[in-house]
Amino acid sequence: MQNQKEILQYEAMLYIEPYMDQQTEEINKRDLLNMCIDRIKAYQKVNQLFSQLEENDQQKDPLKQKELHSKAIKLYNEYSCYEGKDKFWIDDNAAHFFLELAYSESDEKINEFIKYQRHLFQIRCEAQLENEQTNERLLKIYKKLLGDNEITKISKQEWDEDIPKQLRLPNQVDQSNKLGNYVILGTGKSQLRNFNNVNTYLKFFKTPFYNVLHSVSSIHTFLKNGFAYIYEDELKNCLLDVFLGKMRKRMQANQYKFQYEELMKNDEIVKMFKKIQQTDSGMLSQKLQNFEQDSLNALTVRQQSKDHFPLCMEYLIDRLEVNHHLKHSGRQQIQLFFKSAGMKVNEAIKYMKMQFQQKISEQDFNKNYLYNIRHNYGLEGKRENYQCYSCSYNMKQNPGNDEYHGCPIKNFNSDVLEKYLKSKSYEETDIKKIIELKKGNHFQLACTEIWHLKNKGNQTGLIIDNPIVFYRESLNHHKKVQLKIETEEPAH
Amino acid sequence: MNDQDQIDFYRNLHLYYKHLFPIQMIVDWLSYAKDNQPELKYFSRREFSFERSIDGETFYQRYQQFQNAHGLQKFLLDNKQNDQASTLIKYDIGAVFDKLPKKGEKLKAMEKEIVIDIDMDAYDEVRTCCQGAKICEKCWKFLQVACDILRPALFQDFGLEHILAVYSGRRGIHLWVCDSHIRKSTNEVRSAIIGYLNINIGNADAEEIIREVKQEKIEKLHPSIQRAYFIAQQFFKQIILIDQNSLKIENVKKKILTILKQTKILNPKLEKSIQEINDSSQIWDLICSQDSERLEIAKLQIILMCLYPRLDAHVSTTINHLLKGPFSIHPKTQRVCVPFNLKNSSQFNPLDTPTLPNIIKQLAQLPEELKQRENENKIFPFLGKEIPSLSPYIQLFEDFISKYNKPKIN
Repeated sequence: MQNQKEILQYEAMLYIEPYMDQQTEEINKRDLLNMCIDRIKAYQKVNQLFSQLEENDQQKDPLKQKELHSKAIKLYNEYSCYEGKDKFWIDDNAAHFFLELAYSESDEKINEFIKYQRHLFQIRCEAQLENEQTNERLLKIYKKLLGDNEITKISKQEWDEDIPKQLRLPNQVDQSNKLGNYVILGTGKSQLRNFNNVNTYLKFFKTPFYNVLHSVSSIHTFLKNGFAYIYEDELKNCLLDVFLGKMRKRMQANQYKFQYEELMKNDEIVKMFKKIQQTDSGMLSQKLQNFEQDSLNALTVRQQSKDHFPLCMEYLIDRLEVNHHLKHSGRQQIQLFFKSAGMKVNEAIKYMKMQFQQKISEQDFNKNYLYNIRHNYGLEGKRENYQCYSCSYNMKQNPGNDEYHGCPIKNFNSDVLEKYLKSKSYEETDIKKIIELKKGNHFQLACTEIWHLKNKGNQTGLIIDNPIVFYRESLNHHKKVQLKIETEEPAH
Repeated sequence: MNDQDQIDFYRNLHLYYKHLFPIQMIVDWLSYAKDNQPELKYFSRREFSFERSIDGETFYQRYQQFQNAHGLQKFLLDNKQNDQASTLIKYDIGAVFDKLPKKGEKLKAMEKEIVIDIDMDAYDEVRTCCQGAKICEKCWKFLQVACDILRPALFQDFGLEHILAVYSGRRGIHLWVCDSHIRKSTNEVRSAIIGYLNINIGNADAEEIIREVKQEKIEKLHPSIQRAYFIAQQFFKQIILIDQNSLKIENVKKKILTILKQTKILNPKLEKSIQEINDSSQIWDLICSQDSERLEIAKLQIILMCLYPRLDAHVSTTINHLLKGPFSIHPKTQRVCVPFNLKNSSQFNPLDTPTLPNIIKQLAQLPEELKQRENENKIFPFLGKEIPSLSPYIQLFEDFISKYNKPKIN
């Protein structure tokens, strides 16, 4: 080994490039491919593990999260991609970097890879920083990633002068709150905490806002003049975004690099990439594969929606057929569902046109909506192979006025949900059960319950993490039942 | 529009692009000369796209690029496309790419201003004076509050300096954020900024109306939300209670009930009264008279639900989104899409903005010799400053550009 630099586990994860050039020659291509394939398998298993648990549960219960993490670590170890001795980190870097290349091809692939990587990194990060008393190690990693000047501790003076201790509204004259009791700063959950200690400022850091995007967009951090002021425990979460952000940029840049184009001319490498991708799509529950089918078309949408669609899509269809219009987010959600469900593009266009035309002319439809549908089907612009939005994405939505996208089970208030289910003629007791699940924040369980009601059947272990799973499983179930009926009929 | 109006409109547009459209200023602005050496061909790598009418049909021309003002004007005035008479309706500004934009080539978008877009129809559920694309002086106040709330967030929180505020010509405003580091930002940075500026207001069926407000005490909310509340409440009485009487609207009532229920203020008597009363001030007084620790937070939610800026996030978050540029003519209203002073949005009245027929009339009164150009390689002399109803807006634009390019004194 030429490189005598001490390899810290954690930094090895972050600093891939320095090792790449020196070590690739030494790693047998077949070994490399096997390592990559093992990783993909591990990533997917962990990914499934995470998606089975509802987001809310994870956040609320640190014990549960710990359990989840140790399960994940076990999976990673099974495929030897979690930790090991010296040489491991070199292999780890090589495999990771090679996978980055294999997934750089399109934004969609990049997103997929980053989703995988998020779990691994998060778990490694937790483990590494678990017992850290000071923030020195964390800060060191930050500085390595961002450069020395990008993150600084704040001074006493900044603390005193820059930071609002409390904002006061003129009509609130509440003397009991002493000024300075609360400090309005990045404390993780868009809330204030009591910081009375004179030395609190030592635990705050300052960095340009673009280094902590997640905290900024969720309004979790105090901003001034383009700088985010971050409390130490939030800093850990931010690290993940910085790391993944860097990775995304690196991967996106690959697409435009001359070297990448050259690499793609190498048959052997391309074969390896293909092999990796086959492993990936082969493992996934059918949802990422493309297929086309005829049973779902412009004329059958209505009925199929009633029989096989999850509530979120059924609701969109209902609103579309009443209003003859859907706003952008709703159109995206339903069109990508159509695509993933195998509806042909011409049928999707025909159906949307049929609905919209009751309000606007065909010419206006073609002008304003056609491109969007074709784009979603990957026929325009970047020609990406988009997929149906996942449940976790839909649940994060907060539909505004005249918008009907997102997850109705989560977004609706209980009264509205109850009314809607009643209009669908579900039984009182069933509705009650669904509402109870909703109130306990078990939205996906409630959705599974609806699946069982629609299909009048029982399927244990069904996990709906994407509307398309609901649909596919419902279709499959229907086919099985049909088959059963046919085979049970006496032969003539 | 009847046929004659259509012909006049097209003829006026041609005259407008010839004499009144501030072509050199647009080029100066988008060159950002302070940051870019001429050899980088920064301006030429910018995508322009156009809506053109040929024989009554509308066509889009994407991925156009220009060397300078002369090239751009030549294109704007070109009324022959494939031997057919055509008119250029409007122009859109796109991203700056890594190379000269051309259709079909793999292009990487490098830079683009972040444009914050607010359309009046997003406020339809809380306004009673107009709906849809219509706008009046009363509606404008909603956008004025939006400007007042966004301004400190942009200038103080994000530390931005160069924001060009433009009235879209019909029912909305565009804030072009032009700071150099902002133009270079990735889609992820754009989304984060918009995420910070936006709060999602749920619809009448929603479980939570404003998700960002989960605290029981106002003092514990993020300062930007507190500040927004402080600004919005100064307008609430006039706009919501008096001008619009918004609280009588069915969906607004539903949302108020949801908010009151969540804050545990609602009781059957209050619910019944709110449903029966149709006078906003009375409803508001009734709510304010409730005795609860959470009253203030409920009031905050109601006020922000009515007045918080409703951004069209979609426009801002993608780097290569195309948007109508300043000083376009809005095809439906024929109003000029003019800049306004963000710090003084209350002085701006969208109904006072110049219209195309009007400025063309003023143009006709100017002596012919002013309108001649030296030779074919020059652009036509710019006469916008000679038109009284247009010149103040030109001045604003000019000030914006010169402020941008002024060297910083440290």
